[in-house]
Amino acid sequence: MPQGALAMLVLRVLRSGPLHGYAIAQRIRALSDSVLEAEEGSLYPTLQRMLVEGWVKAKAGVSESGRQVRFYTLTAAGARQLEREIAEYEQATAAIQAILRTA
Amino acid sequence: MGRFLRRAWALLHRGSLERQLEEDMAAHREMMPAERRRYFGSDLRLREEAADHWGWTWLDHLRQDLAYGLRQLRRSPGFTATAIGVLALGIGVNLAEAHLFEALLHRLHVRDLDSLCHFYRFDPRDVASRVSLPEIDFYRRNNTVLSALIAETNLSSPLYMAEDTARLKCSLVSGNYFGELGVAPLYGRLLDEQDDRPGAAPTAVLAYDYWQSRFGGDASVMRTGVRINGKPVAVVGIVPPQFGGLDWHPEVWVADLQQEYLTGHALQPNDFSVRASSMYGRLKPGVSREAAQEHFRVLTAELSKQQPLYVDRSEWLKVEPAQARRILHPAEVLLLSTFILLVLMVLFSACANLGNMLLARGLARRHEIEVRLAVGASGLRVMRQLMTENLLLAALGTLAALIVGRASAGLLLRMVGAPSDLILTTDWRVVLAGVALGVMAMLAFGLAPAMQSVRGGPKATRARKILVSVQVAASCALLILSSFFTRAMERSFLGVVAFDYSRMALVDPMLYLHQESPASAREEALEIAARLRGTPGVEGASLSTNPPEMRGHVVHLGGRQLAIDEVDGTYFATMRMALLAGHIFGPDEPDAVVIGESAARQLWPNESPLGKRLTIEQRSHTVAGVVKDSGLSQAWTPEAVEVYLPVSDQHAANATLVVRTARDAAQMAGALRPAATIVGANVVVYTFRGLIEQRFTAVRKMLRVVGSLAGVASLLALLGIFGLLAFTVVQRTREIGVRMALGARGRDILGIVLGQYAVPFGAGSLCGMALAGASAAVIRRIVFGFMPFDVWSFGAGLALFGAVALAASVAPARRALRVDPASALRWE
Repeated sequence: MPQGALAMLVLRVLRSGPLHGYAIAQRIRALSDSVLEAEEGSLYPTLQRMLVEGWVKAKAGVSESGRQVRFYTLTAAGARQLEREIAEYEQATAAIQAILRTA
Repeated sequence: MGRFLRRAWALLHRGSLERQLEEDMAAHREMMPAERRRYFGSDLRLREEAADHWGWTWLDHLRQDLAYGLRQLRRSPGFTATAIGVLALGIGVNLAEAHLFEALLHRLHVRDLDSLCHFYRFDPRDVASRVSLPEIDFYRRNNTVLSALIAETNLSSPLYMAEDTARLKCSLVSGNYFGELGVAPLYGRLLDEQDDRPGAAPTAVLAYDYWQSRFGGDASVMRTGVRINGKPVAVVGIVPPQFGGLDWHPEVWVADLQQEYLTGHALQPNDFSVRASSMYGRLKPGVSREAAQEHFRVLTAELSKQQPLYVDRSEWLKVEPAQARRILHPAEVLLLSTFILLVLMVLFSACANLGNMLLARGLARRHEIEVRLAVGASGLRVMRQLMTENLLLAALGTLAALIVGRASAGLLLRMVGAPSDLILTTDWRVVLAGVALGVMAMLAFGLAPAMQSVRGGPKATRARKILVSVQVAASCALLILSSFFTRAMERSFLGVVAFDYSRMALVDPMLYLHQESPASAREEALEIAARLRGTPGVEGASLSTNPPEMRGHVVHLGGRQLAIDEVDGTYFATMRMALLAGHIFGPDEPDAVVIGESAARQLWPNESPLGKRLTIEQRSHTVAGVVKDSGLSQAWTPEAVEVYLPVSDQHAANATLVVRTARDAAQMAGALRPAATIVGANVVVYTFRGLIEQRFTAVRKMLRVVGSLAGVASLLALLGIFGLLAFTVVQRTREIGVRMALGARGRDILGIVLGQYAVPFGAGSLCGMALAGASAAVIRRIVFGFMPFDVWSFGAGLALFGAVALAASVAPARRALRVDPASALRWE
């Protein structure tokens, strides 16, 4: 699974509301088994990159288990990025399907 | 931009961000089901990856590299000091140049320079850029775009301060000149409208430099006043040092209307034909230069209707910023570019030098680098670290160069006796230039050695040889140039001093200042000549209207240039010019002409010129005799040949007396002046020695500049060659020991040490010679007008360089010869 896919999935699960790291991992695993299979921690460097890009914002909060953790929120730029990635993805799949059909 | 700000913000809060990430990850791990925990991944690596995204890793590496680099530089202080010194010299001379450039470009220190503009007259019939005073008056009355119009006129009639022999440089200015430019007096007051009124008392202000050099900075001159051309003038103020005039460097400024008082020629308020003034204007707020230019086109068209005789319909005035005025001359630009080339050569030399030092250092550090590569450092990482060290060197070098540059620019200005309105400022432009040069130098001297060190290639010998060639070329070129100029100056000097100039003087009675009839002017000149001949110690005195070293008049005739002088019959005897054929004209032969031998050869090859007709300025003359060339016009007008006419009515008032004395002319000056004084005249006595020395001052200054550059380059070359050879000896000590043990003699050993650099030295000197030839061609065309190109100076420059190279190789060669085979074999 490429790196960009993880970022896309994170953006996708954050669309429904702020989540902390573990919850994001849970949701992603529900969507796709393979992405975080080998190394669940790789979510964190990705989240850092998204912070740098300004796609998500982090805010301190308390988890269900009562621990101090950060909750990640999708920003407007993040929402736009998601749209763009979905559009690109669909374009690419459409092109591949067209090739498969004619070949 | 948002990304950059977020990164910067994160850098400031790095500690807490890292802690939070750590906590997040720990919490995540706790929440994970126990059997999956091992799938979380390595904490440390994940944190490093995260730090990568924030750009922290890069910074960490930089910090490590800087700390390591500093430690390395501190560990070898000798190398560090030499490297910084070399860089400071190399970049420093360039920064000195930048300082001078800046000072030249921004030398006009007046109020609100942006709105000040100069009006350049374009006239298809004429090349002059100046305008006449009535024109200025017309524009002043009729324009609507300027808040003020200023005029400055370089007064062409000769003026003399008191009994001085040098002509006074005087500017005539409009009354609003100083006020509009916002120049405040250093002492007293400057000229204003009151001084430019009819009937105003004669006043003048002095330039700071002139006040210093002529009056020793004595303010009492403002109380006593001065005499100019024998007429009393009140000095009302001193102009501050940072202002040297708009157009040139006058010594005194007087108001326009004082011209008649000083020269006896009335200012012609309605004479459009005397176009001698520079016109400057101050744009009204909100008026662009383009709009002003359009407005002035209309005005000029209007003026050409009023004065069709003087102002052509095709004429127009170009409005240009006053700032750009001084430097625009293409010859100056070319000259400065040549100088830039020369100082860049010094920088090249410095870079080549450093490159060599770094290569040597790289070889010495090969062990360290190999170890680092072996334990897993990437080549790129080692490169980066080496380049960081170079960056440190470049930064320290640039800092030192800023100081060296500023100091040497100041020294240079003092050396050439620059006018005081050249003010050095180290502004951001100079600093930027320094930083740019530092970075460029770092890439130039550092990149190749760093790559060599990492690759560990074949001992970097090729790179070293190329670097040596560059260095040899640069210092060779500079040495050749400086020897070329020295010799060029000597030679042109010799051309002039072919006659015994120490016993010659010129006495100028300035008859042109008195409005007399030509006949009486000639009478007076002849009378003065007779009286001078009667003075003890005078061997001869003759008339000349264009005396050598003072005036020249060249007439073009059928593609040839004739240097015309009008003389009396005794001139040739006084100048010791031998008669080769025919006879010298007598006083009653107004249409005879005597020509020089070159003139005879050129005008009538293979024929006798005697009795031939020669038409000069619409007058026909018969050749009476041929004399030996004096060669005196050679230095300024090399193409011209000599033609001597009897003194004509037209030029009689220019008559000057050429005097040959029995003793040194300078000692005779006191006796000559009273002998030549006639009623109401102010006589000036020049010695030939003084005139010639005055002329060569400029060349001498130039020589000093090129000479000091060559000195710096030679020093660099000396260091470079020394370092190179010394390193070669150390590197090959073992080999030398083996060879000695096997019976090699001193000659063979020297062959090994010096022989490998024969090719780079040869190639370098060839390049240097080519470079020197090209720059010499440019410089001599501009500065000297003409100067013979000689092989000897090239040889001398090369020999000088050879001496430098020899001096640099003595110590390493001795060391090679002293190698002890027994200890060398154990050497590691």
